[in-house]
Amino acid sequence: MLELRDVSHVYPKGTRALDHVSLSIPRGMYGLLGPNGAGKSTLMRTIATLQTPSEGTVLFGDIDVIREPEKLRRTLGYLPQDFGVYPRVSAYDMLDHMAVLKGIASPADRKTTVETLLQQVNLWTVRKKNLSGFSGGMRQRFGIAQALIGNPELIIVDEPTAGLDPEERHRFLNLLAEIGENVVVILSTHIVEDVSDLCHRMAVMTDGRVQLEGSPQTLIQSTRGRIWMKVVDRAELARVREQYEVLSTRLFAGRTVVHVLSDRDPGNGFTSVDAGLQDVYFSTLAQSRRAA
Amino acid sequence: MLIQIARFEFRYLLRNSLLWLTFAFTFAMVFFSMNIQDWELGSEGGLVRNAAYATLRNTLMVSLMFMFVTTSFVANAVIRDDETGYGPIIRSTPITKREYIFGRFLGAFAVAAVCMLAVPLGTLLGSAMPWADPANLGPTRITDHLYAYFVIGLPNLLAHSAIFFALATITRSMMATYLGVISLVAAFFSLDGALDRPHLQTAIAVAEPFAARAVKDAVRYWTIPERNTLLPDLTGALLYNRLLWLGVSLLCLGIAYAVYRFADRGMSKRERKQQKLAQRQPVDAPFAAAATAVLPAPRHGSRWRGAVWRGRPASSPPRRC
Repeated sequence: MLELRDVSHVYPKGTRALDHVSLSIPRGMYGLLGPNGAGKSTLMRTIATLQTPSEGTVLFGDIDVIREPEKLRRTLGYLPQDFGVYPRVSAYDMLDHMAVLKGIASPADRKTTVETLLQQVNLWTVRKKNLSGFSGGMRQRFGIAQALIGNPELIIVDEPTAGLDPEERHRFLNLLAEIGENVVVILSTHIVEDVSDLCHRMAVMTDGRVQLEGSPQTLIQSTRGRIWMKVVDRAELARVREQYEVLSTRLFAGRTVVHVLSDRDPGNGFTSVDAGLQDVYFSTLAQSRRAA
Repeated sequence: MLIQIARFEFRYLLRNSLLWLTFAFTFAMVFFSMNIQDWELGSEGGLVRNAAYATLRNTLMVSLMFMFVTTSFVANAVIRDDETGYGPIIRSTPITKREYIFGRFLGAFAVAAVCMLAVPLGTLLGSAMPWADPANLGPTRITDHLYAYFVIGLPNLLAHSAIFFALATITRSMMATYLGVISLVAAFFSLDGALDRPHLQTAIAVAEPFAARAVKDAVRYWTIPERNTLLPDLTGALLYNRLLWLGVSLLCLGIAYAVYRFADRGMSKRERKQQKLAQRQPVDAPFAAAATAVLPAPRHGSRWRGAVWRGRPASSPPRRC
């Protein structure tokens, strides 16, 4: 549905934010995973027609996104990372205005749109409150509401769960999953669970390049047998870091659980573990760091 | 669509308290000048308070004063999206640049135009108050107000709204736009005196942006009764002045349209900064560096003595990074 071919972008100061990105994104939820600064936002903004890439083509169905951005905008819902709102405007009024801008011309249609969406994102009771007084989660829900106006075919949500509390995050992801069945939804995040919970397909980006692409299950399978685990003391950790390719460390009951990447059994008390998406992600990051 | 964008802008700015303060202040100023003996706006003896010339002069003065307020409205209309960070959402909708730029301008300008109605309203209501001294007032003539509003007030508002709208679009900065306003006011007052030569009279009357000169020249040899009741003909320097500044206004709007980039200018400053901060930390070891770093310890109790003794605070606060 959405095809990116050789998309590169170099910022005026010489930063290469995207480096020959080619992706084929079908209908459904698509996760774009990567650390901060990997180029996810640049890619999202490029697809959302906010930025023209230095080279490459982007096709959505038969719309050439770079040549005819206004055509894509008619069927686009975009929730940018970290947006602000106008002071002194209520959620209802702003959403109504957004509906105008998105071409919902008749007042009756607009009323239906706005009321349905406000209820869907659970903002109905605060619809007359000013947006500027909203909490992060409420603001994010307003963001998703405006992105859904007019039943877009392509929905881009850039780090939507950053700053949400667990309950809000859960509700938000449920809502996305509901919508994501029939349209293309691209979700960028640096939180692995967002992707593993929701997405049929995913890509991992670092340094402006796509390092890995596929369905979470296949990707997990590809690292099977290469992830090893050991519980160590804090003092031991530095030595382990020197000797092995450490993917992740986490504390459990005061001791440190280390996951390392190794093609062979590293011995030394390490045991094999079933890889999760997190291990896949961290091993991809480790590989790209080694390559750099 | 353009009209709907303008309407939203208009209603949005109506919630701005600056608008209502300005309206109230202007209204009160004109209102009380009609009916309080010692409260006079101009100082020409013999003129009635609601004289034709007084209405023109009040409108002129208010339009000059409004420059600061209208600039805040029109600049806000074009800068707000970048300043609040709502811009990307607006720019990913199917509206066109034309609808956006002119719709926003029209809405902001309409608000200023409404605010300008404080002058005729103040005059009409103020002169109708029972405590007003009839000796100070002439008959009410609606044509005075129509003339003052449409020939002087509105074109003046349009000219500086358009100029500073263009400036705000180019600089994307409220501060720079206000510096522009102050420069124009400074230039206006210093040049007005400096260029006061007979052979330049007509040129200045045409070129000066508020038409203050053109009006003054037109009524220069008029008697008091004439100033009380007559309006200058819309010919000669006054006409050319109005046409010139109408042209300048349209030109500025054209410039604003041409300069505005609807496709994005890359990431905002805030986004770039956040990204830089994020890149400093390796992903899998967010606290590794911090754990081994030695931070300066605070010292308590001897801050003042130490400061005097060494000429600087004994314990400098740790830097936030």
